[in-house]
Order: sequence, then structure tokens, then C-alpha cells
Amino acid sequence: MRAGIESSQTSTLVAISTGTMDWNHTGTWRTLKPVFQTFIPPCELGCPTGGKMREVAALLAADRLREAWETLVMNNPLPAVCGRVCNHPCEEACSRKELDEAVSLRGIERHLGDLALKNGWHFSPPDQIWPERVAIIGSGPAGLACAFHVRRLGYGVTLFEARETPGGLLRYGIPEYRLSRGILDGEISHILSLGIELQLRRSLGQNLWIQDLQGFRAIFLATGLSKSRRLYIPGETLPGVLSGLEFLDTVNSNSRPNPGHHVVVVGGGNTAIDAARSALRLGARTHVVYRRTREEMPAISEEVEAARREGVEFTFLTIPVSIEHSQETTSGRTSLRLCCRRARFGTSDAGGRPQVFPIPHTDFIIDGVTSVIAAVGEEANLEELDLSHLQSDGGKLALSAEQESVIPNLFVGGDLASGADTVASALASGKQAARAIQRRLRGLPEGISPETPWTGKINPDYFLSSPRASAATLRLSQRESSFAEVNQGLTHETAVQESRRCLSCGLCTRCEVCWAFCPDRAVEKGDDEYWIDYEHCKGCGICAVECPRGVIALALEHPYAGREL
Amino acid sequence: MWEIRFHGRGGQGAVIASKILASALFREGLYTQAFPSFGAERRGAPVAAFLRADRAPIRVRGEMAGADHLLILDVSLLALPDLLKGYRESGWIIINSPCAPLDLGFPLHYRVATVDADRIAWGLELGSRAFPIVNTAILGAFARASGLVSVECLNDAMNPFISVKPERNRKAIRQAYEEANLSAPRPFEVEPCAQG
Amino acid sequence: MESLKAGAQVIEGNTAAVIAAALARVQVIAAYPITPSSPIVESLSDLCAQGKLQARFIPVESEHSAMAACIGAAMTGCRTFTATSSQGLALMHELLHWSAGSRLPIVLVNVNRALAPPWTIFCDQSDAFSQRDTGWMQIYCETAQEVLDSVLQAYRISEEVLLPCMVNMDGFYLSHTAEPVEVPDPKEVDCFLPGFEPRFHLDAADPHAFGGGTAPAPYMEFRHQMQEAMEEAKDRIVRVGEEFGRQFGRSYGLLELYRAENASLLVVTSGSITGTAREAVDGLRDQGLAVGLLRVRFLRPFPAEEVRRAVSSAETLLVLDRAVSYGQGGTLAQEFKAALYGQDRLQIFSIVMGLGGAPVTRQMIEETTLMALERTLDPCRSHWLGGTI
Repeated sequence: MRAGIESSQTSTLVAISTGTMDWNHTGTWRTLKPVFQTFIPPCELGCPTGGKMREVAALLAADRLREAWETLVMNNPLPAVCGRVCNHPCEEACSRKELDEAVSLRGIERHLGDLALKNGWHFSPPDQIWPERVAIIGSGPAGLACAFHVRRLGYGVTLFEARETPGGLLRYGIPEYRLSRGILDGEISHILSLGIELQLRRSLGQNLWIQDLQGFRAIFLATGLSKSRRLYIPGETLPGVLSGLEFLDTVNSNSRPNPGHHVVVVGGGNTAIDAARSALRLGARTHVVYRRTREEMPAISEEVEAARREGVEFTFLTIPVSIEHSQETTSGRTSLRLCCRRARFGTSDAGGRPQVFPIPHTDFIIDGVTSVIAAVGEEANLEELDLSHLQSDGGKLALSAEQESVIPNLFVGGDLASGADTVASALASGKQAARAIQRRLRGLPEGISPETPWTGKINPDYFLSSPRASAATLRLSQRESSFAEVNQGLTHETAVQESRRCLSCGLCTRCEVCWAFCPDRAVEKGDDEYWIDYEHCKGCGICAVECPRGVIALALEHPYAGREL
Repeated sequence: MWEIRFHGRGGQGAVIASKILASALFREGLYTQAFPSFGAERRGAPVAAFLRADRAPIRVRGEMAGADHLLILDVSLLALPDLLKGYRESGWIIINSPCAPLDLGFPLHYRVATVDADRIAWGLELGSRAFPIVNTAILGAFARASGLVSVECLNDAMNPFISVKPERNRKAIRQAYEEANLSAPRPFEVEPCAQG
Repeated sequence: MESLKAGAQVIEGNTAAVIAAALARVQVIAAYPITPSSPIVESLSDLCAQGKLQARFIPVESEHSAMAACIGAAMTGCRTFTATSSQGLALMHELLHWSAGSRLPIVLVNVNRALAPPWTIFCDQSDAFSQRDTGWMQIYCETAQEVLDSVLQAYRISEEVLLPCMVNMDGFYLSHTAEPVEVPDPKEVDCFLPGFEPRFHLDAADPHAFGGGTAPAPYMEFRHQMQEAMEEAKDRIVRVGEEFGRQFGRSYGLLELYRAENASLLVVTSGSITGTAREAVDGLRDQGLAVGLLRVRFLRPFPAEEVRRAVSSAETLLVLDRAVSYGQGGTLAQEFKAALYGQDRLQIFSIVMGLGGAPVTRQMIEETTLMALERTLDPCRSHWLGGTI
């Protein structure tokens, strides 16, 4: 008798097992095979830079702060900046939303970025140094990211900036109440301290030409968008009408302008909201006029909400039709009348956004306006940059999938390449360009990630609801006339607490659920990983169903698996 | 008395096959008795089913040591020791396999019939991709090789046992009957072997 | 041998029980599934859910509750059915007494399975034998056909004598074995088994307490009436069995004899071992040995008189028990020894075999019979055969 139960001829009086059932290779019964796998989590898939937030959260939760920061900056050298201004697509993708609320990944990122600045953590220098040099034109987020990654790969980098200070849009586009200049300066100097040469006041098309950069083996061009889109309505050239970028540039250059007591901002993007909230801080009653509704606003939702709380008024489904001089004058200042028309939604366009149609006979006047700020988008000014030869027939930049232009080794990134996109996308484009340059200069193939995107689901039965930590914010009264940072960030305790809310989608945390549920005790626990005892796993799939974080995939097994019909 | 043994895996339908064949042979005028290897049946686990058929009523119960015919629903079971235990060499071994009978390594004088029952079941969407249900197909091959039962009788006998996709199962029987690959010519008459 | 009939179907013992319950037009079924009787419970539940059986299926949380629900239903005058096995029957024990004491004609199909530990799902008859003193009649079947026929007869007998009846079939050997079974025509069954006319029942319009506290003297009387009913049942069993035979072509009685004429040795069996024992008896007869077979169909009421008559010419009884009463030996052997007390010419040997599904083969029976004929067995104790002993 082979079973563990022996006959009464042994010394036992009852059926006491004397051996194991290991001889019974129940694994031969299997048609489906569970496999432990590490998947790319949704947050990482959602992040343009591929930030490893799952790993970062785990390290933070384990109080391994420096490692958490190092993991973070592998993909993004500006965590303190991004932790403030990013539109956090990682959080939009977060599985925790199915349970309660997304993990505050941006808050975690900011906290780690701030910790690094506070503690003076520095990037590790390149492992090896190559003789080639790379020129990067534009020190906005794309240029800074590219400089960082290219330098870390071991190349010499010269960073050209048209203005007197580096930072691009981060400095001249984003107001200080969202991103303090100390933080921005700190992270830029971190990057520069890797050994990057910075040349200021070098403006493409004025005192810098592509042809002069022969000594560089590759060029990355990320000068951003300098041309504001027009409203195309009568009166837009009147004094008191200015563009969003223009306005923010003045505000952010530390010369506080006076927009008057009543400002109307036209638009719904981040530039519009930034302009509105800045105008408010400069003492104006501020009004945002947007052609669609709150839901369609491209601006970061929290920023829109903050603007509303601070007192910015919104008028939706409204299209400006003309600007005129007003009869009214206040405190010796001429004012403007903005004539608007109500709008309605029509069918959706190709991108899924509803089209907007003006409704006849619904014109109304917003009178006594001291400034009209048109923030309806920006575009590249290729003529000014002397880059007309990079255009394709359609007038747009002709770029390969690797962001390479028609001129070999001239790569283009950031908003200049994409039109207008997020800071995260700009950072990603800098990173991608660095990799493309590395492949071009060293001929290294693109490393293929062994991990596959997570298509599993969290098993909500295993998680308790826990509220998302929120950062302290400046009181409303403190925001009036002050450009101090509104969002105070998470405390260390709340950041750690928040990191523990990460469900670790697609990564085994050795939680023991599979081990506990396996009816055949076929899940083996090691110190560092779990594995399946395939000699005894019957392929019932309970482990895969129960796994809280979807790390067990079921694959076809069996003589049948390989056969063709 | 004929003694017939079925080997399959839990879920392939070996036990149902034994009952269908018992019912079909009964329709052919024989007394029959069919029973599974007693105990809990689990998906994928090796299972056996047994069938006695005789011209006289069957009184003996319990274990069946010998086998005139063997119906093997899963070729991987050939690895099990004792799979052919008690096989009387006059009968047929029916195997679900795409191979030719002579390629399976049996002694040359064994009567072996193969049928690619997996492919037939897949084609007719019987069971799943991972686990085709091949019981009706294997019976079709048995009908062809043994001559003990007609396809019509199997079709009739199938009714109370197969409530899902009966038409496809009938097709499986017919297709397997036609496609079965026999190592030896079918004998005109099979005499019952010694009683077990 | 009887010839094959066109109306027969190849079905399992469990299916035969289901068909019988349906043919008996049971009105309430309360049951809890347990291997190997689960298919009975599952099928009946299905049939009720699909409306193919006009009966109320009461799902319950245990066998104890199953019998409690059957008692409640039977009290109202319904024809009531349940099925169980082994531990389930053991759990019902208290209510087996209660249902018998309440004189309710409930029919229970017990699929014989050994008791744990060690854990087993396989066959022996200890589960039912150990309920022999509860006041239930007990039938042990040899074939799936007999299961079907016995359930129908059980209702007739039970409803006449007002005692519940347990129809036993060996787990797997009958319950899961498909074989030809003739299924009678429902109309004919209705003639044989008309609807139940209770002599007393719960009726809200005529309220009474049933089974309430009773003084010692009448208690004694109630129990004596049960004993009388059991005695009366013997006659009813024979008459109902004969009537069944006239109507359906298959007669039954309290016990069955096979090749017992002039037999000096009778092999005594119950349940599914019988078929194999018949083969052994044939083999021994072929060798010229005067061997026959006595199959016990009813254990309760125990047909003592019929047994005494049947063994009048025999010298040896070889009682094959698929059950044991610890400290005494084979249960059936005790019953025979008790019934045959004083018949000193008889040697009664007790064999315990096949417990927990241990195989019982023709060869084992033949060899033991030869030893019994040679009187090399000890009549004072039971002999254990098979398994790893």
C-alpha cells in the first residue's frame, strides 16, 4: 500500500499517516498551469516617463528613503517639480480607485523630491564616460530630462538656454504658488551638477544656429512653443488684451504687473487657470470664459477646483465674439467690453470631445474688464527658430518614431515636437531622445523589458478601504496677494501612510494568500519568492482567482497546448 | 462475457462512455453492467470505468481484473504502470492519438486502433480547447474496430447521457468511426473470451 | 433466466431509486446530499425544480433536519421520501426512533457506506445494521431492479402497518453501477400503489397533540403495538411481494433461496454480495457439492420462522457479513444464531468481509465455503477475510 495510511499491521490503532502523499504526482492532472509573473502596473503604464511608482511606494513604506528616491529619479530627474505640477496620469490609472481613491502618487513623488533637496542627496555620476558630446537646446522639462539621461549615459552635454535662467516653461509658465522657485532651482542645479555645461542667453535663430553645432554628435531640440494662438476676433489687438504666456512670463519674472481690477481669461487649459489664479493674487476679480464645460477642461482638475475656491468665476459654454473699448473708466484706467455668445454641444469630434456651436441671439456683454487674457493654446514658431527646413509638406515638423528630424542625429522633443502636452510628456520625450541618442552613438539595441503590462484585476475582497491622505493647503485668506505655495505637500508620516495604500498591482508581495488557499499545498514559500510545485499542482486556478494583486497567470499546459488544429 | 475497460482523465467523459456503451450493447441484445472506478472523481485525475457484457444476466459484481478491450481516452495515460494489466490480446486497444497504431510501440500482434479524438472534439467544439470531451469519438472508433456495436445503436443509446450538443456528439461518433486507424483487419466475429 | 425486455433501461441503482420515488408520486422530499447517495438527492431536487415531479423538495442543512422535515410532512399525511448514507444515517439516529414511534410510513433509501474513521466513502452495511433497533423496517437489495421494485413495495407495506421503511442498496456496487432495469408503466404503478390514506394526521381543523408525554403503562402499550406491527408486517411483505409479482412479473419475499434444495450448506448473504455468491454456489454445485444460498431481504422484521423453515435440511450455515457488531462479530450471524437457537445440529459460521469496500470475490467465497464444509472454521468466533488483514 503506497498511501500514507498504513494497515493495522503497523503499530498504530488508528489511521495515522506515516508518510507523505508526495509520491502522487497530481501535477500530471493539470491542464492549466499557474505562473507567478511580475507585471508592469497601471501607474507605470500610465506615466509617460514610466515611473516605477509601485517600487517607489514599497521602498518608502519600508523606510528605505534614499533607495525610493533613486528608483524614482531613474526615470524622472525632477520629482520635486513633478510632484507639484504633474497632471498625474499614474493616479488616473491607479487600481485603488476601484476600491476607494487613487494612491496620492504625486504626493509621494513630491515628498521624496523634497527629501532629496533637504538632505542633499545627489545623482550618482555616470558609470563610464564617452568622448562624444551632445547639444541640448532649451532647458525646459524636455531639455533638462534629456540632459540628465544623456549625461548619466556618459556623454558630454552642453545645454543652451535662450533666457537668463534655465527652466523654460517650468520657470516662465508656471506660477510660484504652484512651484516655488527654490525647488525648481534646487532640482535644476542637481542635474547640472552631474557635469553639464550650461550656456545661457543662447537663442536659436538669433545667436545660435544648428550649423554651428558641428562638434556635437547629436542635438536635442526642445525650445517649446513660443507663439500664442490668437482669438481671431475683432479687438484682440487693443491695449489690455494679452496672451496667457505673455502674462505669466511677466508674473513669473518677478515683476508683478497690474492687470487691473477685473480680468477675463479665455481658455480652459493650465495656462488659463494659472493666469486666472495669478491675476486673482494681483488683486483682480477674475473670470474664466470657456467654450466647453468643466468636464472638458484640459487643466489639472485640482487646479481648477482650487481656482474656484479662491474665487475665480467660471462661465462655461461661452465663446468671445469681440472686444471693444468700454465707456466705463475706473480709477483712471480705460476698460474693455467683452462680447460673448452662448454655445451648445454638437456631435463629438474624432477625439471624442463634443464640438461646440454658437447659439444665435444669445450675445451678452462682460463690461468693465481691465484685462482680457487669451489662453487658447500655443504653437511653435519655426521661422523664428530658423527651423523651416525641418518642416514637412503640411508645415509640421517631420519626425521619426524616435523623434529624429530629417537631419540625422537631430532629435526634437517636448512641446516643440508634440504641439502642447504635459510636463510629464516633455520629461518622457527627453528620456526617449536620450535612449535614441545612445542607440545611435553606441549602436546598442533597445532593451526589451521582460515584463508585460498588467491585465489582471485587484481582488477587492482582500483590501480594506482607507482614505487617501491629503496635503495641507494654504488658507484662502493667505492666498490673497501671495504667491506662496498653496499645496504644502504630505508630511513624512502621511507620505509613508499613503505609500502603504499602494496595492502593488502585478507584483507579488508574498502575502501568503495563494499559499493559504492552495488545496494541494503546491505553493512553496521561499525567503524572496514563491514558486509552484508543478509535480503536485493540479491547475485548479484557485491561486490565480484569489491572488489579491493579479500576479498569477494561468497558461495552457498539456499535450494539447502545443498542438495545432 | 466481454470485459471492457476505459481509461481517461476526470472530465473527458470516460464514465459516461462506459454507460453509453453498456446501453448500446444492451440494445444489441447483451446484458451489461457498467461502473466507474469507485471514489471521488477529480478533473484531470486518471479515472477508469468498467463494462461487463454477456449473453446471460450478469450477477458478479465488483472488481474486474481482466479486459478484452481497452479504450484509452488520453494517450498520456500510457505512462501509467498497469495500464494494460489483464489485457487479453484478442481484443482491441482503442487510443485517442493522432499517431498511426504501429507508431505507439505496442507488440506487433496487439490489435490497436487510433483515432485523433482530440481533433474531432475540437472541430465539433465538444469541451474546451484545454479539455476536449472525447468520449463519444472514442466510442465511434471502438464500434469500427470491434464490430460489437453499430453506430446507430450508439446514437440511440447516447440520448439519456448526453444532453449537451447531442447532434455534434453523433457527428463525433460517425467521424471517429470513419477516421479510425486500425492496425489489423477487423475480425468478422469476436468470440467472448474466458470469464474473469 | 428471465429474458431481456424491450422496456428496460441501463441505469444506476441511484437512478432506479429516483425513478421509484417519482413513480410512487411522493409529495415531499427532504434530504441532504452525502456520497454515494448524493445523485438521488440531486436528481430529485432537479426534477422538482423543473416541475417534472409534482413534489415539494425541502433543502435542509443536515440529515437530522432532513428526517425532522420528513416527520413533519408525513404527519400531515403526505407520502414522504428521503435518501442518505453512512454518517448521514447516523446523524438521523434520534429521529429514526421518533419517526418509527410516530408510526409514520416514511421511506428512506440508504446507500450503504462504511462509517469513519478512517475516512471512507466505500461500501459496507454497518451504517444500516446499527439502526436495526429503531423500529424501521429494513430491506437489502441485490440489484438496481430490486431497488426500484422495493421502494414501491415499501410504501405499500409501510402505509399498511404504519412503520417506516429503509430500502438499502450497497454504495457503488449498486448505487453507481449501470445495468438493465425494467421501469414499470406509471399507470400500473398507480394501480399497485394508490395514494396514501392516513389513519390519523395533523389537521388544523381538528387539533391534537402527537407524541406528547406519556405515563409508563401506556408507553409500554405503544411499544408493544410496534412489535405487533413488525410481526404483522411479515405477512404483508409476503402478500405485497406476491401481488407485485403478479402485476409486474417479479416476486419478492422476506428472504430468497437459491439452489437450496438438499443443500447441506447454505451461504447466507445480504445485498450486492449475493450475485457474486451465486456464482460461487454455481461453481461449487458444479463440483458436486450440496451448497445453496439464502439471501436475507428483510433484516427487520427478521423472518425467523422462514429462516427456520429454509434451513431445515441444512447442516451448516456460512453467514457472510458486510458489517460488524464490535464485541460480538458479524451482525447477520448473530441474527441467525438467535433465530436458530436450539437447533443444535446446525453449525453457524460467521464471516466478516468487504468492510469499507474491501473486495469480495467469487474465489474468496468458494474457498471459505470449502473450509466451512470441512468444519475447519471456529463456530465460536467470527472470521475476518480480505483487506490487509
